[in-house]
Amino acid sequence: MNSVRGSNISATSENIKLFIYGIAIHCISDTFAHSAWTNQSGWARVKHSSNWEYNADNSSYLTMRYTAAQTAVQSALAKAYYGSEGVLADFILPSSYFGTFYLGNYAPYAKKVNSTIYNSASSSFNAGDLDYNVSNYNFENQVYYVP
Amino acid sequence: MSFTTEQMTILTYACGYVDNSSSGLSGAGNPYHGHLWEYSSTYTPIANSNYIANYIFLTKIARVYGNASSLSRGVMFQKDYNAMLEDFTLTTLGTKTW
Repeated sequence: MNSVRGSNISATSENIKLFIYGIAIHCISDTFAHSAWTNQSGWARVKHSSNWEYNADNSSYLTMRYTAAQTAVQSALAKAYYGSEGVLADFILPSSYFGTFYLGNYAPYAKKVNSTIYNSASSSFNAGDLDYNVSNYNFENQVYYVP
Repeated sequence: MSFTTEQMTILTYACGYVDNSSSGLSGAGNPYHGHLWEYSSTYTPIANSNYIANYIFLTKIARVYGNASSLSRGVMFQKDYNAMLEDFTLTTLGTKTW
């Protein structure tokens, strides 16, 4: 066990810890790639389109997704730096980031994680929540989550 | 807040690692990609997946150096919790050692 997964990174406890924080950072940033809905002839989830212009992983497509991800990642990086747990507040974003896109299950998932923090910042979570802002959307035959 | 060059190398490598197909952690069915649903192999949603809870749980795993089994599920969905318990241990990530 000399290096982390084919890299030149020594597999020390501290390096493994930081590596897992990196995976957490991937998870939080990917939220804005893979749980986002936008309006293109109707509200639908952003996907891995064969047309890169509309691809979920294209940071130039719906640029506020990228801005939101950058802000959330800043919070997550602070957790990695100080070795602390991620918190719901890492997902609190300015309401102005939303409008061109919304996140599916954003408000109810936040409420499920920490109802106290959710209630104190409900306007922010509601501003980014798909169901709160859009009346007609394609939810791929799933039921909007209710905590 | 300032990371060393080595620390940034680790974080950058890890961020990209889970999208590498050889990691065993890539793809829509794994709870590391900010999805609000788990997916089948045909990308059909099959279960809820709380991306907020998953992110928080990953930071908890980091703090115990991969020893996920020492952590309780909290509000995570069971399938995601099971997947992370299977993938993370003190000595392994996925099917490989660290």
